[in-house]
Amino acid sequence: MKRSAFALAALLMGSGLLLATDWPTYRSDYSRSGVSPDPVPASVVEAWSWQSPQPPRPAWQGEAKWDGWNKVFDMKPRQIFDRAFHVVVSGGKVYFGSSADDQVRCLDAATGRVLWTFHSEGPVRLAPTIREGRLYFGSDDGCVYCLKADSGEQVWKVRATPKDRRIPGNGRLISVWPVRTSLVVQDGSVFTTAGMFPSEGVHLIALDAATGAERWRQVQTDLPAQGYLLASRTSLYVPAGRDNPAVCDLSSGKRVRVVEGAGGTYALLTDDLLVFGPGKTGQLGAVEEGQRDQLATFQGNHMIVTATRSFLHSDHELTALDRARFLELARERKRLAKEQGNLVRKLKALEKKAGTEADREAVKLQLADLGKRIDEATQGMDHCQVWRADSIWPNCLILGGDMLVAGGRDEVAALRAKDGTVAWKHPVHGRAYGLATANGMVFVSTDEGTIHCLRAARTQAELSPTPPDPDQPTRTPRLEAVGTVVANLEGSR
Amino acid sequence: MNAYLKNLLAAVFTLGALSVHSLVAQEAGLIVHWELSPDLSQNSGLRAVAGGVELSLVGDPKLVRDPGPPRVELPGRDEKILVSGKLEKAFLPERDITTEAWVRVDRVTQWGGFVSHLQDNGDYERGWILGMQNDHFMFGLAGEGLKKLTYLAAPKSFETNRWYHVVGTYDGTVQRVYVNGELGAESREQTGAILYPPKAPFVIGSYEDDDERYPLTGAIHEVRLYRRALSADEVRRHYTAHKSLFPEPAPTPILFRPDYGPFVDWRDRNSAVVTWETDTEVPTRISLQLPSGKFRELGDGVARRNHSVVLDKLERDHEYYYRLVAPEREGRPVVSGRYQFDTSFYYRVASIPGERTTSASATADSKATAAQILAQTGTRDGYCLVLGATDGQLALELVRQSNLQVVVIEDNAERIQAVRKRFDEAGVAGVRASVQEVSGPDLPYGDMLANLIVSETALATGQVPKVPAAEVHRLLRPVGGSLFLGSSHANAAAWKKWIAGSPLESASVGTDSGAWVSFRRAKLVGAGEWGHQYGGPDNSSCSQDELVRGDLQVAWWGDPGPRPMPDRGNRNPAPLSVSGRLFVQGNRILFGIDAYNGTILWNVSAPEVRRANVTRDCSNMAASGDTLYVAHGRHCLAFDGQTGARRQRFAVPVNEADGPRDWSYVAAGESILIGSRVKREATYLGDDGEWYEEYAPDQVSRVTSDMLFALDPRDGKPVWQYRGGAILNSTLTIGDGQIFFLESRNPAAIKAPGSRLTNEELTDQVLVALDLKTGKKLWEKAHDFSQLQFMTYLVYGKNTVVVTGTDKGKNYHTFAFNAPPTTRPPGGGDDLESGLGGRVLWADVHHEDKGHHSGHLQHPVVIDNVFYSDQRSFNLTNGVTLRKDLPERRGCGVMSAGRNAIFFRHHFQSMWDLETNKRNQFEGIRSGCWLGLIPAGGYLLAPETSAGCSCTHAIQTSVGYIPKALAKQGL
Repeated sequence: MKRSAFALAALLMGSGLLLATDWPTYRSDYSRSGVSPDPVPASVVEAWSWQSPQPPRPAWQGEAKWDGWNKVFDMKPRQIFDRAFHVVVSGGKVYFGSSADDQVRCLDAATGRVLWTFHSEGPVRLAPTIREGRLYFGSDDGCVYCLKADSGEQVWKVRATPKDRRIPGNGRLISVWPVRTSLVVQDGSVFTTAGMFPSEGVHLIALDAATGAERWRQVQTDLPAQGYLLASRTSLYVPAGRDNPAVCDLSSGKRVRVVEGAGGTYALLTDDLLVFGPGKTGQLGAVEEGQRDQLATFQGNHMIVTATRSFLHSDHELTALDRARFLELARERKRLAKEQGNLVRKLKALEKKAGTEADREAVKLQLADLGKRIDEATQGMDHCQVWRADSIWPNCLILGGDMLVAGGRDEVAALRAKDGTVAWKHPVHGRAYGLATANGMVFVSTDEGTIHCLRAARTQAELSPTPPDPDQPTRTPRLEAVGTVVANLEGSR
Repeated sequence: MNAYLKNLLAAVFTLGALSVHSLVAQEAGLIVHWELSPDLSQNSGLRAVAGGVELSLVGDPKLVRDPGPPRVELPGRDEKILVSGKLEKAFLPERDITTEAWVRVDRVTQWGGFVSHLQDNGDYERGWILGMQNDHFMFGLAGEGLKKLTYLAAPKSFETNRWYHVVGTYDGTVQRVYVNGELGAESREQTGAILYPPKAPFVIGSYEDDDERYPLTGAIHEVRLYRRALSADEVRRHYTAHKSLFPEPAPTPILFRPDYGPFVDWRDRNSAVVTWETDTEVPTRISLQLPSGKFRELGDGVARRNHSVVLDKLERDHEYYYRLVAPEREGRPVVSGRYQFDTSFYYRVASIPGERTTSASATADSKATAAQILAQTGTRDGYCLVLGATDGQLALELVRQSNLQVVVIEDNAERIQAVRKRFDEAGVAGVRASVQEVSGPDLPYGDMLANLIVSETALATGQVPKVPAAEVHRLLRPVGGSLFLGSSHANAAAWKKWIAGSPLESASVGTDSGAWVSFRRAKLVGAGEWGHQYGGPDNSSCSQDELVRGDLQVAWWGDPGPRPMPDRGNRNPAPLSVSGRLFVQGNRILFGIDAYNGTILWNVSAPEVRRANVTRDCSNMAASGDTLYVAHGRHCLAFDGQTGARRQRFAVPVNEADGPRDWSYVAAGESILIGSRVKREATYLGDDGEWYEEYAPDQVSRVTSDMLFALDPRDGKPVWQYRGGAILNSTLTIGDGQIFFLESRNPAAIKAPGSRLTNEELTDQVLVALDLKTGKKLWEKAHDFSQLQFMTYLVYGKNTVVVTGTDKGKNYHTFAFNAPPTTRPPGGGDDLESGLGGRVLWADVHHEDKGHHSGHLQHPVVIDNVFYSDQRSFNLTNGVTLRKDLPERRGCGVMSAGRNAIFFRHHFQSMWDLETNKRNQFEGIRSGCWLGLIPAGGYLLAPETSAGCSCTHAIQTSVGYIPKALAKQGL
């Protein structure tokens, strides 16, 4: 097997270059793995919380309520990168930007005290990234900033596009070319994008991390750039809002390909796969390195991947899969499907060219056999489930040590990775869209603009006297008793 | 080995760990018995009563135990129940089958499934289904003999909201469907074993195959599947044994319809007020469904005509449902339709904390100055630029006293820091007030975006801004953007010098106390308006805008996005733009938007405002001056364009003999409001995702009016009324003092006044011209319009009225008639001598040029003397074909135009520049499948209309585009 660039990147991101106990960028690393080796505490109490004067102001409200033609309801929002102030954690400090008041803040991770703030001139929609004592972020004002992480002092500021034109955008007076992707800082370069409307040009740029000097620039005229960038050693993965991510060469920014799928800004790199979604219905697509088409799709919104397991997170459940077996079967099914396509074409050709009945029947037999084998592979993939657990925490998912943490409405929960049982639940203010863990603490960001810091319970009093029963279903019961005359009318709607 | 044993063994083999006991049916031939009861739920599924096959619940169907019977409630969305895919094949009966269900259907759909395993994709028909076809229960099955499905329907219609026992049987020769124990129908068309597809969903609660899905709205108590055909006696026994479980339906509610409303207006982020009126004093209440699913009754129950209820403690981003409830009548509940209010549709500026005594506290002077500026300019919404700051006090007061979003432009670092601190402390930073570090004479802002421009620096120092007056003027929004600069100790001469030679030269310079420069920017010369569905009431689909041309660039973007909008394909009313405002009709929600910067000025939830299939009807909106007119039930409402206040309402003329009518057509001018009236049920609503592209009676039937009338919107007094035949709403057209339409004189059509009528009913069509001022008939022309089968459009221009549409074969038929003006101009021609119009000038027939969906529904465009239709253009008055090579487009959008460009949907939003013959696309952003791009006010306005598109178009948002040439000119 080719040792992929993905794997190498994961090694670099996950260990040596970044402090293991930090969470220095969105979802921990540029693979956006959401994984930290630091164990999440077995029980928690709230250390502190910080409340923004104004809640987050996401750029996008959400998808249409339904696709009338296809009768698809509750379509998933595909652009969900800025519903909370996502934090990064480094050196005992917590950093985040605000889409409400345009500032970047640094808080003491132990106390929640604000250590410094920095004003940009537009909403800061994506989490900053920390590298070697510097903090890097972009803003809707169209600029890329480098600050000293300890003091917030500006090191450099660069307008990401040659022109400066500011217009009303998403309810604010901002650049025509807002920085709507995160920044990746790697090998002395800062990679980011500016621009949303292809007709105005969408700029992919690399800057010198020390000075902000431009290293290369590519202009896209077909896709926007919105969401968190991902990077391997050789490639930059550029989410495109509702559309599918583009893969670009890291050394030049040149487009390599646009992968196929149902779109969305959530993305994850594993050893050999780019997983992204959630498409219109909450479906993740997986594309193998170097490929354009999908290897497999998963019903879910998020995924966590370890060496042996994939944890799939949907609106109502969390599932652990035998990763190796699943991928093996998925590859087999893809190969069979390709073969099936070839045979179908062959059959059509036979029908057009009036091939013999025997020829056609032979192909049909092969097709029938292939259909069975595809079904078997599909069923085999269904059997790769190691465990599943009901979940009422659909908004985000991370893994710290051997504990999964999931964000829900007014609550976060930790589940044991080995079996999916609930270890603890903790109330929060609003919908938890952002999670991070570092140094034994869990940070929760909500759509109310609240940041909660949870730490290990230390005293007996802090420990929950009655831990939740892991056997107890946690899903909201579907039972619904309706009583009044009017209520009866609603039963059918 | 018989088939049963064979299959049983196969099942055992497949199931592995499942016990044989679980597979042995309790009743002969019973394969599986599911009861959709919460008592049987396990994990995320349901276990079977017998047969051992677990069901998976998809979506979030509600399992209800009490009050009985135990059941699954299906809301008709994406909920369904799937039989485990890996088990299904072992359980499918080979030949003999009985499928049985207790069901309640609450909403009739074209197709519906209670339990099914089929594929019906074109000629490929396999499997079986127990379900419904419209309001008839049906059992469909494909056998080896026929190799096609026979959908066997019971002849008697079923009632909604009532429980039924439905059974389908087949024994290899006879296929039967039973309803409530009685044989409904039988067929001997099918023979042999059941013909199965290799793969199909085995689903309960939905008609579903690879290319279609019709979810059930209703409830299912149980489903049984047998490997034999039950006899008629057995079916009857099953029905008799269980029928007592199923209560008779509650008395059918009487539909309550308020005389006016309801409307839901926001009070603040967490509360809103619902208002409605009734004809008489009635003690109505609201039944509100909370996020928990529980219901709360609101209202004081006092009999009155004007009702209002406050909804408080509203949760953010949640869909609330409510009904209006009146006292019971004749033992029946009296309730309105079910309305929705979505708390995510809050578009007001961020609320700010109350003033505290801090360094952010303002001085009395700054409060008074802010109040004076706001009063004098009349500006309260949008963007305010502050050219130079001192301490941010004036800026802060402007925020506190208005809805403005204030941007301070400053180049001094210390002052920037101080003002930011003030904004932070006041809790207004970012969302309401910000500071941008900008220097130099040229400001980096887009054109025409500011509603108000002031200066703290000028106020404090009396000095003129560093920015040239022309540059300041460039930033002002047309049609009312205001500038107010100066100081009590300013030197008038310096200010006059500053504006001299600039577009601000005409500004007023007050010198009573210091110097005060005030200016209000006028409408752009050459800007057009889009006040009616197709531009003007002439239906030309041309705004007459001269400015939108050449390359365009983004001027603003933002809400509304797709969420509040109806599906892209419903053929919804077009957006409108007049007087610098953009009016957008979402899905039962109205928006007033600043056309030059996208600020949402107001929005109101109006659940009775909805119309679809405008192709066969007319829009329910028109705008003129500062007013938006919207047909709403029996009324036409006049909204204040700036504030959304409901200023006036006009009632549709009614008389007892005719019965109730709704207001339908709306056309508005300064001194005249034209309306027509229909029966309420005539209006298409598009709530089932209809795209109205096929030739079917429920898609192409025309909405017709039984009366046309005019009134004076200034006082509401009636001016005239016209009654004749069945007026085709889609043809109502106004031009040069005349109103034109087609009406059917077929007695059958006239006997169904104000109805939705089929082509077969709408025979004997006559083209009619009335005098707009008097309603007096000017002329009429009988003509054969029978080929206009898919739709009938009518447009007017240059004394010519053109009728066009397509036939079933998608051929365009176009007829042009002369339409002389009502007053004789000097040197008038022959037609005036005769005093009559309606002479055929020319005609054309051609097959649609673009076959993509709804390429056959294109509405024409008229620009000057050119008639653009499909992908061709003609001389409007003589019909000479000018071109057949208009730029290619996707079929689903229709064209709109200014005088220099035509707009349409290709893959993305697109523009065809008539001067250069060049087509541009705005990549990544698509328009809807109808009319959503309107050139008006010098901008191309593109409110979001692509909602629901499953495609991966990267951007779904509302956008305003400005011509680059216009930006350069700085007009």
